[in-house]
Order: sequence, then structure tokens, then C-alpha cells
Amino acid sequence: MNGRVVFLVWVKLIRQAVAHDLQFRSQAWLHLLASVGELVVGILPVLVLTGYADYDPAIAQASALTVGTFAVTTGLMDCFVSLGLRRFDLALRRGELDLAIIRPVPTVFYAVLRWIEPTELGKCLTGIAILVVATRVYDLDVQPQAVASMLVWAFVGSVAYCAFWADLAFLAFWVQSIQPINDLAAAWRGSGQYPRRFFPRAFQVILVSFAPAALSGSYPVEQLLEPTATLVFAPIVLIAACSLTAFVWRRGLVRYDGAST
Amino acid sequence: MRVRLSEPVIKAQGLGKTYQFHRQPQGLAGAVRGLFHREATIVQAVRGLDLSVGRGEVVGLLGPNGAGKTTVVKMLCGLLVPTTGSLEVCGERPADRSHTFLSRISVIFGQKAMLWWDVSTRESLKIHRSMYGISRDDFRTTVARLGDLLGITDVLDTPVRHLSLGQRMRCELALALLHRPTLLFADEPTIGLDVQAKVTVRNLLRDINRTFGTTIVLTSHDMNDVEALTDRVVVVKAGQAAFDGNLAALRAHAGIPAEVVLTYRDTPNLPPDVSRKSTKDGPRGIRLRLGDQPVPELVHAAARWGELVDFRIVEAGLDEVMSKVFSEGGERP
Amino acid sequence: MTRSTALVFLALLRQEARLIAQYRWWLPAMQASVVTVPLISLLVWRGAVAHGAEPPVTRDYLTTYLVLVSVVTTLTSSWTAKFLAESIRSGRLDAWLVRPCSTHLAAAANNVAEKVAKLAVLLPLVVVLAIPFHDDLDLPAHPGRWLLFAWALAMGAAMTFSLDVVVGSLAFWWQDVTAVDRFRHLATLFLSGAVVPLAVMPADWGPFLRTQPFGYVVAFPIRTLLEPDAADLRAGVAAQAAWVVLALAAARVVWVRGLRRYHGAGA
Repeated sequence: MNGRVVFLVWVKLIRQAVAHDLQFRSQAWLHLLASVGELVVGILPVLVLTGYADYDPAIAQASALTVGTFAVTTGLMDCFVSLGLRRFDLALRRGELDLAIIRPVPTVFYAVLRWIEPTELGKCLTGIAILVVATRVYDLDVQPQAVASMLVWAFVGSVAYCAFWADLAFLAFWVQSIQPINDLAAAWRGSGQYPRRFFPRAFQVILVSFAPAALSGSYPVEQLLEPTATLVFAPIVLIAACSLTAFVWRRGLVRYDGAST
Repeated sequence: MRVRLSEPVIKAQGLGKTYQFHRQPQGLAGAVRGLFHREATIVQAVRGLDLSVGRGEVVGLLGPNGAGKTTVVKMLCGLLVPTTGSLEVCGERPADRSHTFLSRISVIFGQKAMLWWDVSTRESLKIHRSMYGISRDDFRTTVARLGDLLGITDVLDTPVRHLSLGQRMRCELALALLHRPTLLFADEPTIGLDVQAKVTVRNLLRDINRTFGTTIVLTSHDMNDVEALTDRVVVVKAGQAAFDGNLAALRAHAGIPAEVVLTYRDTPNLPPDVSRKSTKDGPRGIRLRLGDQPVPELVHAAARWGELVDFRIVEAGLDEVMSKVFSEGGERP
Repeated sequence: MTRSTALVFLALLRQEARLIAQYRWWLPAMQASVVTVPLISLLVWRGAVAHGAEPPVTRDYLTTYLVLVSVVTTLTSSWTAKFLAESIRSGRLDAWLVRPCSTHLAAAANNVAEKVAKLAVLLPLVVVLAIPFHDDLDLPAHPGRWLLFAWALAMGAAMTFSLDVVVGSLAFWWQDVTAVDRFRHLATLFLSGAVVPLAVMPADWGPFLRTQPFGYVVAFPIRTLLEPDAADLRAGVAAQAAWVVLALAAARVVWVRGLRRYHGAGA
């Protein structure tokens, strides 16, 4: 399949989504505010919690950076991936996947990634603002390789979490009406905005492996503040997550027989 | 209180409906401005409509898109409040939406399902049994009778989502008729159905009208529905009743002359003036408008143009009649 | 009329139960997501306390609150606004308006039936969640407290359903009410105490948190089990009842006015 064609279609889809939002501006503004509001509601509990842990300034610093990073990665996921995954169960039941299968582009791309919500990028802006303010307030002095490590892990972590979410959403091939699994994936993602040290040890491992919510939030910040040599595992995580999702998708697609009516 | 047999089921006088819309200015700034100042637009959808429908009649309410017939039907079944005029349906004011009124009417929306999608038709019928206060015995008898009449006995326990469109429409009919309504509104009842299913639904509506004496108000763009079902048509145009009468009168009103189809053994040799006025109908046939000329004279003349093997008089199709009636003057103000 | 309404409600309830039974995985998946947020909160708050954090409530209070919160959230939630708005927008409301029964009966039946089913799935999950923390669970034994809890839950549920009808009915005037619904959900999520117990919010916010309505949806029903002060509870019950009456009145006014507009201007 021609990657250039896929990219051009994707760009067109983004332009279409932006044009749509520009057309319905007042609604777009409201959704933008709502998406930022959702983010704030998500991060306030973290700030309230860390407010009671002021005995250790490192916790407050890590928390602020984590919620900032989490906001950016969440904004990107929600802009480009989440809606498609949330609609997947419905698309499968209504037979809409037929329309994706007959297109000369990869089915998974057309079925999932064509649903774009530019207003969700408001979270990214908020996240960047939080990161800038946190950097100033805590007067951070970080090495370029630590920043690189954080960026790589944030990217890999976001892809890995999208892949994990997709694995859950694709269960719709096997199980009827599994739509709320998306709420589960979104709720679990929220654990990535808390410093990992607050979780019991078993959960700390789960959060960076089997259900990698921390990889798109707290873990990249850990790598920024205390860099380790784990960067070499990033490509492995990326390949493993994507391979598993590709495997689930292929197995699922074999079972797909369109909507009954 | 029951409707007296002699009284019309629908009585409307000078019925009118005006809509008022507010134009939303473009853009966010416009939307904010719109919070303080809005530009109102008034549209008169129906004006001065008089209508009387007797018990047991089947009336077709026809009109081009935007003529106001949906507004009329919505006022008749209590979904819209008339702006002017008086309206009485089944002896009640529809807009009051009283329990008695709603229990006497029924509506089939061709494009909106009344049946619950994920359960069987029988389950939906049971809910309507509670809703319309039907006794257990009456319910059993009516369901059996409707099942036979509509041919749905075998599918009553199948989830609605597994039914074909034709089966679903018949089940919708069963649901609509369960409480033996005095008046049934059928809004595009055959839309989306295949030819065979359309014929079935038409026959059923006819049977229901004959068997239960149900008054039916039909709105449809399918002229075959109208031709097969209605005794009387009311054409709504620009919010007014442009015509009210039977189909023969409607044809006469349209004034489209009948046509003659002449078929010859070989290609006919037509005089120039006839050739100009005629159209081809197959390799050896022609069509001519039937004017004032007496038919025997026309047959005599036609026999001279070639070896005539067939002669038929064809009335204008209802589609053509409607198209003519719809296009005659009268724009909405 | 009232008896007939009750019969229709029961018929609809039975139908909803049958419907829910068809989608076996839908409920467990949904309830798993409902338990996830309090589970995360529970783990991090206990973790923070273990690391030396000092919130203004005890560890027992936090644990009991966060174990109960998913049950309370489930029982007081409502999801009617979206469907109501859609039926108004698409004109499907007509199919209900031509029937001789209340338009909201089906939504209420769906709400009750789904909650019963959700509770059946949720309770085992909550029990599993509670087992590791059973030493820190502090629940009252007095039946009166549990009755008060049930009353507060019913009031909370009535309030949410009424607010849902208000938001859904806005579709009589506006094409798209999803943004408003999102804001309402946000407010409920944060101000009800569904994510963070209101008791651990900054002390300065106290007066505001005590007067706003959303706290009576989640935090107050839990308080009826955890707060020992009877005078506080009496004041809470009165305030909750006032908010419920207000919400019901708002729902009635908005619905009647909206319907008048619908009857006046059409879908």
C-alpha cells in the first residue's frame, strides 16, 4: 500500500475536520472549552493530592510535569485516535466497516483514524502551558538527552497506549456491544497522570507493561528528571505493541461478516 | 364519549399555521450579536384550510414538497398547535392531546419506527396493551386477528431488527391498529418497500378500512398508493386546499386530454400535420392527443394512414395529472 | 390514569430487562470502567498517605468513601439527555407524542432497569475491591443510617434525571446540546465528589462546595453513612430535598415550554 497516498488522505481528513469546526465555530469553541475543562477536572485531583504531600518538593515538581505531559499526549490521542476507537463497535454493528474495506487505503486507517477532532488539541495547548510554567517555577536544569528521552518515551508511550486501547476496542469483532470498553480504556489512562510511586509495586509494573497508561504520562517525566538507560527498550515496546494490535486486527477482520441487515 | 357515526371525524375550518424563525448571523461574533438582536422571519405554512372527513373515508392528502401537508397532518394528530381557525378531530381539540383523543388515533410513520427495535413485535404490542388499557382477552383476539390479516403470526416473536422491511411495516401496522383507532394517519407508509411489499401494504390498508371501518388519512408521494387506496384526494398547495374531490374529478380538473395509441402492421404513412402532432410509440405505433374530434372520425381517418391493427385510448397517468395540478400557479406568500 | 401509567412503566421495565440481557458484555465492560476511577483514586490516596501525606480525613474515611463511590455514582447517574435531545432533533419524539402516555416514561424505565442490572454486576466487583481493604472499611450497623442512605440515593437519582431532562430539552431550542451536556458532566464529575471526596478539597472552597447542588448527588449520600453529626445530616437532607424540588420544577418548566415551542414551530 502506498504510504504517500495514506498520508495525503490523512492530511485531507485533517483539513476537512478543521474546515468543519471553522464552519460551526460557536460549537467548536464550546467543545474546545469542554475538552480543556475535562482535562482540568482530570488533573485537579492530582494537584489536590500532591498538595497534601508538600513535605517533599520533588513530588509536586514531578506531579506538575506529569499532568502537563499527560495533557499533551492525551490531547493528541483524543484528536487523532480516540473517537475512531470509540465509534468502532458501532461501525462494526452497523456494517460501516464495509465502507472502509472497499477503499484503496488500509482498512484500519480508514476505519479508525479518519475521525479527527481538532478541538481536543486544546488539551495540548494547556499541557504545554503547564510544562512551561512548571519548568520556570521549579527552575529545572535538564540535560538535552533527558529531554530527548522524555520526548521519545512520550511518543512511544502514546502509540503503545493507543495500541492497547485498540486491542480492547477490536474485541468488538468477537463480543457484541463492547462499546463501554472504551470508557474503561479512557478511565485507566487517567492513572498515567499520577506519579507512579504512589501506586503499589505490582501496579507500577502493570502501568508500564501490560496496560501502559504511565508510558504516556508519568514515565516520560521520570525519564526527564532521573534519566535511565531504558531508552533502548523504546523501539521494542513500539514494535511489540503495534505487532500485537496488528495481530488482533487481522484475526478480527477474518471474523467480520458485515452487519446482518 | 364516542364519536357519533354521522359526525365527521375531522372538522377543520379556516385552519392556519404560521412559523416564526430567527435568522442566525454568520460566525461567532454574529452568534453573540444574535443573543441581543434577532431577525425574525415569518412563514405561513397553512392558511384558511377547510376540511371535513367522514367516518370510514380514505382520504389522500397530497401536495408538492413544502406545500404544507406535513404541517396539516401534524396539526390533525396534535403535534402542532394551529395559529388560526378551528379544528376538531374525533370530537376533540387535537392540540390538547387528551388521553381520549390519543387513544382514538394512530399514526404510521414510514420513516420513523414505532416498534421497539431490539425486541419482538409481541413485546411492543404488550406495552401498547398497557398503554391503551386493552383487556387480556381483547388483546389475544385482536393480535390473532391482526396476525392473520397481516400475515405476521410467524414473525411476531422475532426481534424487529431481524425482520425484512416489508415484514417490519406490517408489524408497524399491527402495532398501530391494536387499539382499534377511529382514525389512522399513514405518512408515506410504503416508502422504501419493494414493489410486492407495496402492493401488500396497500391491500392491507384497504382491508383494514373495510374490516374495521377505520378512517385513513394518507400522505404519500407514490401515486400508485393514492390510486389504489383513496376515494378522495385533497391537494394542498401553498398552504391551501387547491382541490378536494375524487380522482375522476381531479383528472378533469387537470384538464389533460386522453391520448390515442394507434398500432399499424407496417410503418404508417402519416399526413404532415398529423406527423407533427404525434409521437412514436414503438416501431409501428404513434400517439396522438385526443382533441375535440369525434372518435369514429378519428378511427376512419387513421385507417387511411396504413393497415391499423390496434386502437387504444389512454388516460393521463396520475403522476402526470399531479404534476400538472402541482405546477398550476399559486406560490406560497 | 395513574394505574395505567404504572402498568406501562412495569411493561417497559420488563422490556428493558429483556433488552439488557441480550447484551451480555456491555454491562461488565461498563461497570469495570465505573470501578476503575475510584480504584485508581483509592490506590494513589493510600499510596500518598503511606508516603507521609496528611489529608484532613482519616485513611478509613478515604477507603470507605472510595469503595462506596462507584455504587453511589451508578445509582444516581442518568444518561437520558443525549437520547432525548436526539429524539427532539430527529423528530422521533413524534412517535411518543401521539401515544397516550408520558414521554419520559420509557427513559425512566430504562434508567431504573439499567441501574438494577448495573448494580447486580457492580456489587461483586465492589466486594472484590473491598476485600484487600476490609480492615479500613468503616460502615455503620444501624439500619436507620442505611435507610437514610437509600433516601439520599433516591433523591440524588431524581435530581440527576431532572437535570438530564433539562439539558436534553434544550434541543427544542438548539441544534447541538452535546457541549452543554459535556459541561454538565464535568461539573457533576468534579463537584459531586465522584473523583475526589469533597472533604479533601481545599478548605477555602468549603462554603461553595456545601451550597452547590452537585455535592448532593454523590458526596452527600455517602456522608449519610460516614458522618456522625445528626444536625449536619438533617441540614443536608433538607438542602438536598430543596435542590431536588428545584431540579424537578426546572425540568417541568423547560419541558413544557420546549414542548409548546415544538407544537408551535415543529421539529
